[in-house]
Amino acid sequence: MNAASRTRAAKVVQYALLTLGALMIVFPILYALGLSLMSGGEAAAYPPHIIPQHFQLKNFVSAVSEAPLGRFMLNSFIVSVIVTLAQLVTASLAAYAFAFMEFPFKKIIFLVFLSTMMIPGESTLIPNYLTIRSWHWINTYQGLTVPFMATAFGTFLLRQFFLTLPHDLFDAARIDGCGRLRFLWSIALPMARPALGTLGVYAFINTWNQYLWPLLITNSTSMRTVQIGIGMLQFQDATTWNVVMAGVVIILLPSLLTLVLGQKQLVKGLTSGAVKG
Amino acid sequence: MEAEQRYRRILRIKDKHYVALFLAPAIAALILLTIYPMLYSLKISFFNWNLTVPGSQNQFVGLQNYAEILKHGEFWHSLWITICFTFFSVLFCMVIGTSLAFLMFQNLKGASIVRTFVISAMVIAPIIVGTAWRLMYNPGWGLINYFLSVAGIGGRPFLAQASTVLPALIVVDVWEWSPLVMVIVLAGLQGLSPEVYESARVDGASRWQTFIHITLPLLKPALLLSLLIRTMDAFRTFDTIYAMTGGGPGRSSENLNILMYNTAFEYFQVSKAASMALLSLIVITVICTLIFRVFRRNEGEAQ
Repeated sequence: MNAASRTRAAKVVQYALLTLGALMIVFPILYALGLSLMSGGEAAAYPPHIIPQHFQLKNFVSAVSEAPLGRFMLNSFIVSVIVTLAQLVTASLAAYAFAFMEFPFKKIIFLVFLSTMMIPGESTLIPNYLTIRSWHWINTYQGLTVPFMATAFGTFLLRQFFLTLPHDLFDAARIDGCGRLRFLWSIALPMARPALGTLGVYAFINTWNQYLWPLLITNSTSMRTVQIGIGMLQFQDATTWNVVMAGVVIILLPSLLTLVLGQKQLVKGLTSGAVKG
Repeated sequence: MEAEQRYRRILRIKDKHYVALFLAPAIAALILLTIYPMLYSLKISFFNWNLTVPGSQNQFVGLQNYAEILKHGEFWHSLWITICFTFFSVLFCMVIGTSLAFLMFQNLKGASIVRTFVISAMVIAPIIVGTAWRLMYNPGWGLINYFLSVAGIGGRPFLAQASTVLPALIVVDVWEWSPLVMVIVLAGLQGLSPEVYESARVDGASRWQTFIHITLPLLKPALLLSLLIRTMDAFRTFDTIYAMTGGGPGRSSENLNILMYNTAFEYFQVSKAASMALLSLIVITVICTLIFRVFRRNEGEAQ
């Protein structure tokens, strides 16, 4: 075998593996999409159908009317937007302080900050639940959002970005009489747009996907979020899987849309630290 | 000159207020949401608080919760489940994710589209992932058993058998999180400078030698990062397992988080659950420290 045909053979194998890998990952998603378009009978057929024979959109209507999906989506949307905005504000303020300001115990405070990043949410789940309960915040938007308003990860991400901005810029602005807040608002933040985008995408998807906390902190239909709604749907009749999947597809849309629009930002956020270590 | 100094001094005084203003929200949140709850959790763990028993939050029992947990089998059982789940899930995620990353790095056509699809698995809520896979695992008409029967292998109720439930759950976790490893390792690969490869080739290194002696060591930060993130996340898996088996059948997929959840919110023994949460935090801290040490030691040998 000469070198050229060997390279070509290698390429073929690579493409085959790539296609296989992609199929394995996409298949369950496409299958869910297929089911959501089937009739109840077809969804329960054996051998199972993968591609629907008769496309129908009825399931989407049923999903929305059977469970208060609209209300759940509204709640999730409100909660995700509040948490995302709050994280952007608290993280950029704190990151700015860590990057540009001098104050006593700065290093220690920053270290404590970072170490809280390592503590999993489950460790604080019980005390936070008890606190929220004693404040009578069960079934409220405060209860759903306040515990997630600050982020050590986001602060770290933005601080790293601010540190790459030239310090001269800051000095020049100061000499021109530009105050701290104005500098942050009209110079630092616009320049940090990519990092803010990363944090925003990340925060939104994470909050949208939350399950355990809303499960604990809400028990009325009017305050439940979408992921709980899916949990409620799935325990019903086995022949309504097509409706469940229609609900799943509806709920997935915001996450997938965020992904398509913010893929670059998301990848950057996930990989920050991977390159430099 | 003097005017400037005075100006700077004024700025510094003004700065103090600003430091407070800028840091206050984040610090307050941090204290309120992480530091205070951790201390509160520690305090609860010394009491005998049961949510259904009024006044029990004032019953001081010292270390009795810890003693009971360590004495009874359920904690050790769940710890074992958690460790098995974490080990195999992380192992396969690392192998598959790294392989995918290398494939993506070969400049194949269509790789960027594939990447978008692959990443989409990660943004799907774990609870939805669990729901969809539960459907595929369905013993009656689920796709997986159908494929197995086509291949001539007898199907089985994977999620309802103690012997198969853990591997079945690991498959789902690997499916969901290999893409994360891929993304991180791919970023690491893209961060390497091409000159390193060229000089290796000039020196007559084979592809395999280049891979072992150059690429892998340079990829170490990316590999370590993905290994740590995956280990921490697999250790604390809750949503997917809860959606697919709820910890069953029996207790055969009850990992530490499910055990903790059940203890606190099914049996209302919040003190016991708080002790469990602290114990499992200690375990995962030790594991991560060990991983970190091993990586560091290898680094020392290489130099």
